[in-house]
Amino acid sequence: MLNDADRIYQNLYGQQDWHLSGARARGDWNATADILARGRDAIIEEVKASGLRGRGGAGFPTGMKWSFMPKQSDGRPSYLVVNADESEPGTCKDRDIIRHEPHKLIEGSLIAGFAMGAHTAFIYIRGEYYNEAARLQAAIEEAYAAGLLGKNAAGSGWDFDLVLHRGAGAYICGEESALLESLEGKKGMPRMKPPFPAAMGLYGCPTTVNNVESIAGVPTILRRGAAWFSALGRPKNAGTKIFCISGHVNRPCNVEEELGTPLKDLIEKHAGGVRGGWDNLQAVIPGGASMPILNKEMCETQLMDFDSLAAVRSGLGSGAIIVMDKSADVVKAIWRLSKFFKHESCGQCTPCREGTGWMMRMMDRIVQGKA
Amino acid sequence: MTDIALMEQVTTQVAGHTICAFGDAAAWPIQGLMRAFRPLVEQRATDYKPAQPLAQAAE
Amino acid sequence: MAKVTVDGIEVEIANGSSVLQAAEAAGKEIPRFCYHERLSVAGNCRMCLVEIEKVPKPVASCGQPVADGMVIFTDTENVRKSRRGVMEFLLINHPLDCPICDQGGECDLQDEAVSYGRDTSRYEEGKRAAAQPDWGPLVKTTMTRCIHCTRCIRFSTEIAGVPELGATMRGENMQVGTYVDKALSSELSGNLIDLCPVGALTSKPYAYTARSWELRKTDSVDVLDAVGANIRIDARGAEVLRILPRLNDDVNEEWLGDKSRFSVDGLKRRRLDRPWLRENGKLRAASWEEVFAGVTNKIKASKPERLGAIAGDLVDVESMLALKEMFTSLGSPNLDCRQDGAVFDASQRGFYLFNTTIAGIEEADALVIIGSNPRHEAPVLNARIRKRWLAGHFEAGLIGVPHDLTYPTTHIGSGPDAITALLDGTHPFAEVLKAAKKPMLILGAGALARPDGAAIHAAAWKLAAQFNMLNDDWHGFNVLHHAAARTGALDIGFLPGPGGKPTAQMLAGGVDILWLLGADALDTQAIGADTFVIYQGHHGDAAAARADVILPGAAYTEKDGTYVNTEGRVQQGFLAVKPPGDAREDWRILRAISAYMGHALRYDTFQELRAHLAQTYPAFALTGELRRLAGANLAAPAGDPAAVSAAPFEPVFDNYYQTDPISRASPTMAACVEAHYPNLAEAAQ
Repeated sequence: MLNDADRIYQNLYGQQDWHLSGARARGDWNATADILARGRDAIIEEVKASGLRGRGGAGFPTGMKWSFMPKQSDGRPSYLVVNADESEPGTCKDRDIIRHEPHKLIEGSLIAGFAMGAHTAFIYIRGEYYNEAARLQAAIEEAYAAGLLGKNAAGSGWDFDLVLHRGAGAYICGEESALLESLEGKKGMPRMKPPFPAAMGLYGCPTTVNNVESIAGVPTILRRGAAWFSALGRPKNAGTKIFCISGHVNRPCNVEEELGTPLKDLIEKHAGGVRGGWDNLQAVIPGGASMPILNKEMCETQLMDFDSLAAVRSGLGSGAIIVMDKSADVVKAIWRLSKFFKHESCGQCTPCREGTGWMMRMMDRIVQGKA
Repeated sequence: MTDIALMEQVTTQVAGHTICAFGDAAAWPIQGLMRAFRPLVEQRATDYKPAQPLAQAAE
Repeated sequence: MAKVTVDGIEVEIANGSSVLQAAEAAGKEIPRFCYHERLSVAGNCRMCLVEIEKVPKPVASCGQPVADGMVIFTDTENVRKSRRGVMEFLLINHPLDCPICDQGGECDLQDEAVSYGRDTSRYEEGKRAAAQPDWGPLVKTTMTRCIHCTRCIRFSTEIAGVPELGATMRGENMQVGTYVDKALSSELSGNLIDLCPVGALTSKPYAYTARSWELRKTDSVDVLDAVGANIRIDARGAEVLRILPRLNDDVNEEWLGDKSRFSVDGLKRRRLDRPWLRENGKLRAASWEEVFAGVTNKIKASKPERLGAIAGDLVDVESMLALKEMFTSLGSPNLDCRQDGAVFDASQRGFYLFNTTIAGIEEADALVIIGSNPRHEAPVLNARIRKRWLAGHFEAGLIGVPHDLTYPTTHIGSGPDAITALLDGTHPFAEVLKAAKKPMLILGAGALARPDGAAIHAAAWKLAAQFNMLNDDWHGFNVLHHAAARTGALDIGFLPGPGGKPTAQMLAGGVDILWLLGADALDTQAIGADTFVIYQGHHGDAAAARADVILPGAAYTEKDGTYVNTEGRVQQGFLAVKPPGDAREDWRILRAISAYMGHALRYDTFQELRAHLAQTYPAFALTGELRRLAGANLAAPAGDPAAVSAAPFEPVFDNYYQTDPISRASPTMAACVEAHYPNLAEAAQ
């Protein structure tokens, strides 16, 4: 089990003060200017060396993503966009980061923004996170008041503005290019790639979109060093990750653990075990609604990291573990997800627009056995 | 049973053919179900009996 | 340049080109629904999927840029499988109503279904249906057939510049529409019908009229404005059923204005299909012999200098030449083609042409529009200006009535004094022109049809000269005509000869016998009560009502003829159907009547007439092509630039849809007026 000392999120459960004062007591905003003083390249190299992979679902190496941003501006500004649209069913890690550790996200935004040459960052938060948006806004205002944002942010000499933008509630706006469209005030529909956002993103300017958890972890990684972070987890799956365990467990929870922790440990040790005992387990969806479901046999030995889950043709996704005991109708559960995806398809391209409805209707019948 | 096979084909026609990863996201849960719980799905189709008309049920 | 291999064929193609373009360069056909060369790339239909070496997933070729050394496969089993999959998805919710769909026979979905469709459907669920919103009198919607390619949305937003279409809802409930029901307000809305790959958007007036394979197709040239858009006339039997644009990148690209496209029902109404004679104040039907005899007697009894002829706006050059030569042989110098009374120096071609050329607009970096509303007078040309504006670093100024031209304009002033303000630098837009490398101006023909027309003409030329518009490699002085016949008429000098009278004098009793060749845009009330009016034309419009003799002629779809567009481009139209009833091609009427009068014209066939035209006026030897004139070292036109008045410019047309006898006879155009100009429609009733 992860040592408490190795947890990035010391206040994940909100037992302490979320305000700036509380955050400072936990070490946030400590000598941020010194971190920035290391320079862009050093920060990116450190993040690369840490092995941090994007925590939003795809698991793309964060440092490498940052390195795609132009080193020299061609006249266009660069932007950092933080994806707080956390809409993958079963996922609620960003929610708790924003609720209880908002200053980690704000400080991370400053450091990441600086590392990619962005003077402005936008946090796109899902509309349903009303209270979270209010708290994050309050935290941003605290940071501005304390000189941590704005001109000469945190005394670093870098001007940095952070803008919170609320979405209107659409799953697809969690996709980075649809998020950018929505942020620009358009209908949230994904863009063709190329061009990639690093070349032409928000308002046609170089942009990097990162998940909340990726950004919020960065200050700690830079303070404790890449070696500390990469020593946690498994090869190529470094560090810690917040898992959101829900469903038929005795104590549903968010928990920060090392990547590669056995699924069984997560459920048994952190979530109080499967309702009715491990043998009552029927299935687990290991990474949010879109990741393929595992049966009990697969769950016995499954390690929870990007590559181990990919090896069984599933995925870590957002780290949302949805547990179903034997009382669940798994076929109906997947039907419900089909209905969700049919409802959330943006309608832009043919296979998804037409296919999601067809799949849902076939699932209607398969649930009943009329297949 | 033919629907199960058709369903698997349709998911492959969606996944990997869309602009964004949503198509994959919509197809994978179903593909996962068919991989991990195929016997359950097939059993349900085998066991299926069309609802009896009310008049017959009363007899 | 990038070297790529398409199905084993190596092609070299410009960097930034798409894989689809590379495939086309290699002669490989890629099916597509959403992709269109002139629209932005949407990539949403997924029909153009191809395989690229080392890329795990199929790639949408329309949106994928080429890279050097790329190896592309357009016809592998995987590619076909992917496309069959997409096709199946497109068809599951597409109604099987081809037998009652107007797109049948020219439907992209139908065509591709032959290659990639299944013989039976595997879809057992209920099909989607959608409402049929009313988009006005021109475009019929059947949104159940929509495949959400968004071409229509992109066209109206990008090309037409009237962003009134968009998608609402999402997923399979996504609907293309106008948000709130309304008639489409673009003058280019008919192009949506051509762009729609399925039967979701079809022509409302043409609904259930014909199948594409029943139609006889004739290439021709549009005459309802002076752009000379290339068109295809589709006819069945003796009836023209529809008009579609033809591709010509130099002129209309592939667009056509709504008036030019939809006035076709006006060709069947109010037609003059037999000769008429006025007797005791009333017109009565007559035979050709009677009218020939009547006209001949009348003309023979009159003095040559008391004869006059005015040519109208839709007439072909050959007919005007025949009329001119007949009048010359009769000894009359009283000819004019400027029925709007525009008197200005037309002694040089460059004085009255759109010298920059339509395609040349794309090279300009600043524009001044003087006394014109190109959106109404030449919508396709206006779309070219918008295209130029969209490309960036382009500023446009407007002198005259402010309009929404679909691109932003600086309103410099309302009258010709604004030209003076630019000349003396008192208006800040002068700085824009000064800084521009290739500035151009557009002088509306309407701006010349006023008493100070010659002065405005001279002032505009001075503006061009002062602001670097006249160079060796750049001619930025442009007259935008709205009458299709005008440039050709000026080219053959259909103007008063020595001592001849211009339009105004001919109307005001200057002649005893007035021959109106399709001239309907003049004030018939102004014609002297004693003037004997011969009207030769195809529609019973204003002038026919005033006529003493009516010679039924042919509309532009009913005769071969040459037209010169506002650029000076000589183009030929061809007969698609015969003129109705006793009506005849105009040159034949003139040839016959000249023989009757004993001054027989020298040509017996149309070919001889056309050869004679090219011989007499060398400009007509070159058809289709255009030689751009150099702008340097040119003498200025006659006229005193300082003599302009302060009177503001006025609109040429009170509405876009009804500007000539054909569109005025069209019920479709009347419906458009009702939809877009309710006040005008009410006044007309």
